[in-house]
Amino acid sequence: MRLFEFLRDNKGEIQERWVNLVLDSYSEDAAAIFKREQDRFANPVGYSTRHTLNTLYSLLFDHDTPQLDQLRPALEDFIKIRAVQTFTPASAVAFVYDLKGVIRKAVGRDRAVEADFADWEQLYDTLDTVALQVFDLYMACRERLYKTQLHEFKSMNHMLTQHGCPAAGLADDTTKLMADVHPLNIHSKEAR
Amino acid sequence: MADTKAAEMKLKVVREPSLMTGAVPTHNWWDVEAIFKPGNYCYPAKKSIAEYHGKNLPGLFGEPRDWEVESDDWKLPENWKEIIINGIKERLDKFRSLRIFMDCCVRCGACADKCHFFLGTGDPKNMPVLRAELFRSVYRNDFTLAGKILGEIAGARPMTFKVLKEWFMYFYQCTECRRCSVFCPYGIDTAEVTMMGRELLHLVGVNTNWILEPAANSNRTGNHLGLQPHTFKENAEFLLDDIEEATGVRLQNLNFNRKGAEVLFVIPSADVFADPGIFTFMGYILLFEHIGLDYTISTYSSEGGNFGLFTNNQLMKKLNGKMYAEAKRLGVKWILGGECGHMWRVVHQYMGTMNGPPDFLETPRSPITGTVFENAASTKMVHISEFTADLIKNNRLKIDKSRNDHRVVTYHDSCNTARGMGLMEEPRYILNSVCNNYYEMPENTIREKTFCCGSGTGLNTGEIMDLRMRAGLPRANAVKYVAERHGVNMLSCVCAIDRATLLTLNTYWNPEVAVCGVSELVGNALIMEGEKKRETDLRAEPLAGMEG
Repeated sequence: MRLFEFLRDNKGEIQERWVNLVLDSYSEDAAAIFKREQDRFANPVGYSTRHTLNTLYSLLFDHDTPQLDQLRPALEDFIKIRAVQTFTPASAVAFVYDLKGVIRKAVGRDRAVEADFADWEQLYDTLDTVALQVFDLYMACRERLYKTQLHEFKSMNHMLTQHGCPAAGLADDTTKLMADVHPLNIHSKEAR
Repeated sequence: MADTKAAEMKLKVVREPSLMTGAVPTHNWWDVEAIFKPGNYCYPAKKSIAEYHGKNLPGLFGEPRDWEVESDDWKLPENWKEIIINGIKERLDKFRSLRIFMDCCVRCGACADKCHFFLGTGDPKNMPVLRAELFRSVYRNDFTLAGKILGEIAGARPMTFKVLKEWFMYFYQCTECRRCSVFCPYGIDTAEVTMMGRELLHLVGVNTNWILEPAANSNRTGNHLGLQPHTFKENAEFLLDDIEEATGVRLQNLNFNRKGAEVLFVIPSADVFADPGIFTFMGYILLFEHIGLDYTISTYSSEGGNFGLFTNNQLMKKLNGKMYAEAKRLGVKWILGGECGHMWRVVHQYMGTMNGPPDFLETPRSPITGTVFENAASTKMVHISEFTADLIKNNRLKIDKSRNDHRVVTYHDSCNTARGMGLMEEPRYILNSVCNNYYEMPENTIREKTFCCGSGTGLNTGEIMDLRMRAGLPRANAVKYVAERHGVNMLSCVCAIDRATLLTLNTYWNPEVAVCGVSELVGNALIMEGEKKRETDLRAEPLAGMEG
């Protein structure tokens, strides 16, 4: 059996191992819950991880050539989550590389697989391409986060959320601040 | 090999304390230190602000000082441990509920996966049971026989600086939303454990500026921004121009501090200056004009939101007392409350016993429909959604639902109104009456099981934006579902903090979904006497069919 045939035939088992490995990047207690709970609203992280990785696997291996053009929409929501959690950038995107190890071990367990250098090179090249796209997505999410912060500040809601904190800087005299912004900034059509 | 590198990177994450929480899952939970880094804590209060509170409520806010959260020297008083332990003793004696909550948890785990902070962070110390355990372990050590004799074996540990740091980290990763309590078979209110934890932290001067400064402003001028009466009034009056532009009607009844009015109307102050709260305010005053309500707004009790709730019961009582004081001064018959969150938690759960009974007020009776709000017989205060729903039920409003046809609406149950006062049907009744396109979010994310916005109880500050996005994930996830399934483009709510924080949450997670108050949609739909042909809504955005 050739490598990519093996990946299609053993899809379920490899996906399960991969999902579990990625969920193990959370604390032990959290990983147990994220793996167990199936409701997508009661367990958004677990659901998104499972759903996204399964979809990604299908895009890569269900067809003769990987469907790389569909990666971005499939991955975006999941990367958004990883991008605001406590992972370093490298560990946020490391899930792609995890699949290499999972596949290598699965192949090692099955003596019927015939995988030559070209097969491995093709697989690793594909996953490296995915990793690069994932890193772009990760950076886009971080930029969106900074824009979100800026938007909150500019939309006057920083008055609700940052007033008086050092980051506000200018807000020591609130009455003066309100005089500065009132009435044009908050009520003018141009400001909307 | 590449996969080895991935494994190494992950070990780095697991073996080293995480950036956000310091949690290292391979150890016993209390061996894991809380490590503060930029982005995972709120800034401490300015010395001047702590001094201000110390003067008003001596002894409750610790020694005013400049201190840094990331430092190992928080400049605590020498006897800080004694202050904390005495503080626990005082509260155990004073609040029977606290002693029960300390004793009766059997650690069944029903609450463990119900907290939005846990679901978003995966940090076990954000499991409500474990967050409360941070407190219980100290309680056992000093106040139970088993803890005194058996120590760690009985789950007891002494108060140390390490514990204090944990308290500061995790009692400020709880929005006191009470979702966990819904699932607790014993009804333990973990939010009240957090409240007690924060009270104790304040006793030794461990605090956050975003809570104490708004609380100081509320105490001094009546609202959290410290707006003086004339500014508050001018801001509100400025909105009359926008209303006239949208409807062609110049409202005549907006007034302030008018003695002898029938009703005192109290709002969250954000409704007079912040987008999108200002549109909610326009909805309120359009409604009052529509029915000819005899109301007034106080520029001294100009903040519904009670920032004292996030500090201690004494400051909460003091700030809440302003509403009754103004009701008495102005000689009104009863109080109507706007779309505010924490105000209603305080009103429903604490006001009656803290500052009541307000015998100088009458049990609220709608002057339009004659309905007597017996549910408000104790506090004399009615929610704007109760009041509006009653008007609609009695057919007293002229409504054109099609004016909200450009909106596909869902409703976020604010924690404080849904779980804190049981307000679940009225907003939905209103929304179904003023909108043609209304869809519910999934059942386990609404009503009493609603997910918090992730930024309540003074956590809505910019320096912890990543944390807020994580905590708001469960709510945003449900919004995304209805946005994709039904094309929802408007998330309505009845809380000012929600209106601010859900907007930010959606900017990251669901940028296509806007946020509004329920009363804004009422204002859009009201057919006003003498109005012009309506082409735009209150946001000056074109109505359906008027886009050209």
